[in-house]
Amino acid sequence: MHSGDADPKVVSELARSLLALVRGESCGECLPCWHGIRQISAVLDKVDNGSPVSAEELAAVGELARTVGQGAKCGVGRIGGRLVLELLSRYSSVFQARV
Amino acid sequence: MGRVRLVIDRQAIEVESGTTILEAAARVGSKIPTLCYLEGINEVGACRICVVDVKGKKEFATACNTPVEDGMEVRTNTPALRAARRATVEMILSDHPMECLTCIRNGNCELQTLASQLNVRTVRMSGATHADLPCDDSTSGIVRDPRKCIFCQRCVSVCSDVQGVGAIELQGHGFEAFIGPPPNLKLDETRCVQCGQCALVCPTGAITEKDETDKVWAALFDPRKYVVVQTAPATHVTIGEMFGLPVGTDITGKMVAALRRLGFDAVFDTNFTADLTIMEEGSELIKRLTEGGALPQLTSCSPGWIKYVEHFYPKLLPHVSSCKSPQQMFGAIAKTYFAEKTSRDPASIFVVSVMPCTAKKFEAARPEMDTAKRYWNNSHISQDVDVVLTSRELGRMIRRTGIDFAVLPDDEYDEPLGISTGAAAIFGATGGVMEAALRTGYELVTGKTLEQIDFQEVRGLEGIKEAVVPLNGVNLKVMVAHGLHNARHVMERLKAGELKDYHFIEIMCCPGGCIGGGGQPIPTDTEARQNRIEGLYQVDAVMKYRKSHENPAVKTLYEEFLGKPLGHRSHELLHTRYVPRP
Repeated sequence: MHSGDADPKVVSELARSLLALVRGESCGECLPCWHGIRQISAVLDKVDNGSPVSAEELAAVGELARTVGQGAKCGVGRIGGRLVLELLSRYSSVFQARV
Repeated sequence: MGRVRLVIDRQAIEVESGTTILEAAARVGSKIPTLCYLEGINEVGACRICVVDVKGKKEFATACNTPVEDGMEVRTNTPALRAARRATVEMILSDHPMECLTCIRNGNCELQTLASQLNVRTVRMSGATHADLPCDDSTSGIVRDPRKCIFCQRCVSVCSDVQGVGAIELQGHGFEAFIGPPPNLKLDETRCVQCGQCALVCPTGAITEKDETDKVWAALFDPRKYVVVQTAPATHVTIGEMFGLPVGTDITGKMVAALRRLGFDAVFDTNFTADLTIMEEGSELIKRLTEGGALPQLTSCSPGWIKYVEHFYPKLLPHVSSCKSPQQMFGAIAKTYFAEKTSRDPASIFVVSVMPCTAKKFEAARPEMDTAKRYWNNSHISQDVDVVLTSRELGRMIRRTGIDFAVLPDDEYDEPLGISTGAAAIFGATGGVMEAALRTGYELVTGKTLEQIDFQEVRGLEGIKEAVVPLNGVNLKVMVAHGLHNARHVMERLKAGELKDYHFIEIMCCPGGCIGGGGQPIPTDTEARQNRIEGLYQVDAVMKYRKSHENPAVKTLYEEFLGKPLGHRSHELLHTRYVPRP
């Protein structure tokens, strides 16, 4: 993923569409993937539609993404978690707390 | 098997290859937290709580199902692991009703314990998806509250693999997945036998027994009712666990004292009718052997097992003994013989059972279990057994009153329905009914005194046990199985015609027999089962009478009321029929 100047709309749209792929593949068996991807999606939706997002929520997203990325049972959740971590670190300007 | 050397938390250890990281870590003193793991039964690695760090691996491994490898360096407690475990618990809690204070498992919940152990103090996420799922209380014995389900899949593994029933499964896929019966079906519309093994292994309150303690409180304080209680053999060595006593402690005397203090008018023992069962079932076997009838004869004490045969092997029902279970024999006798003997209105007698079992609730509610009503031709008489309490429910009733169970003095059962033998005591262990039947059958058939009354071959936790007992020139071939998965092996062989030379087969629905029943204190694991079984054999060893036909109260019952085993009145009160179920 390149890390040049990013259009926030494009980045959050990208995050959402990538996670949608993961959601579609998640089997529902292992807990971090099941809960984590769902919870992360909920926060990213807020980023995407301009709703208020707290710093705690974003911190939680990071922690969940790490947990899923390292601890999910199979590659589906692991890739999902790592994608989110990658996006968070490369486009920190997009994922800012908003009151 | 080879040996593997590895390092866990800087401790070098050598273990057999094939050992899991979880087991190896326990040996160096590192207890890795788990949630979905159930030794030998559920090792699917679904919850990801037991994650560990293996040097050189980018991703965490689950300790419960990852075997050790030579040269492995494992860390079980790093900041990243602690964060991951806590995040996972937080995720679970974000979709879990925070009703701990009013939950039936409050204080004995593995999720609660884990959240406490991992120091989870906040839940930063919201958006529960299960919050609106309806409770399923369609069966007599078991309640499912899917809101509290954490997807550990222990119930699925137990139901499919240990019991071979498969009434609850992981249904659907991905984010719409849920655990339960097939969509749009309630539990009572499946082949669920209500054994309650799922309730026993559920880490939370998602599957529980149906609590009926309020009905018993109401009866106890109803002056029009004469409330009698019977206690199943397997409860004699388990209820103490709920009050901090060592697993397998014989608490018979304390339980009697507690029941009396709760206000029961008469405290009786299912062991009495266990002896009666042996008289009837033993006589039935002798009749089948001498006059013909379906052989081998299968035992009928376990209601989950009965429902299983009705669903899965209806064509083999003629093999099942027509004897009611001891619980139902008790109900019938209490409302007929005992009512008559004590000149009481049978409609005023309220029979409560204390059982190790959730399926007993189903059994008591079976429509044909209204013998007393038919005997007296009185529509005011209720079912033979009015309410069945599991061991756990009785424990909760005792707690609620503030009775200090552990220090209670031993009390004696009331007569006559409280008198029993060692043969009845061991009914609660797998092989116990068989052993009791052999002790009596041998003496009834041969007329000789049985010298060696301990039948070691039918004892213990092996899934299927066999023995051959010489009996008046005939070699009686017997078999014992416990857990429905083992029962299924036996039934498949029976169906294939491979068991034609066997005479008597004991089957108990739950692993270990009733001491491992679905209504027993939680946790019930292999070690608990072992200790409880030992407890029962100790009870047996010190009993005055150890053979059912020596029970003086049973003899009197036949003299005064029943006549003889398999007699007309026995058939009316103590025997039953079965129905094929889809």
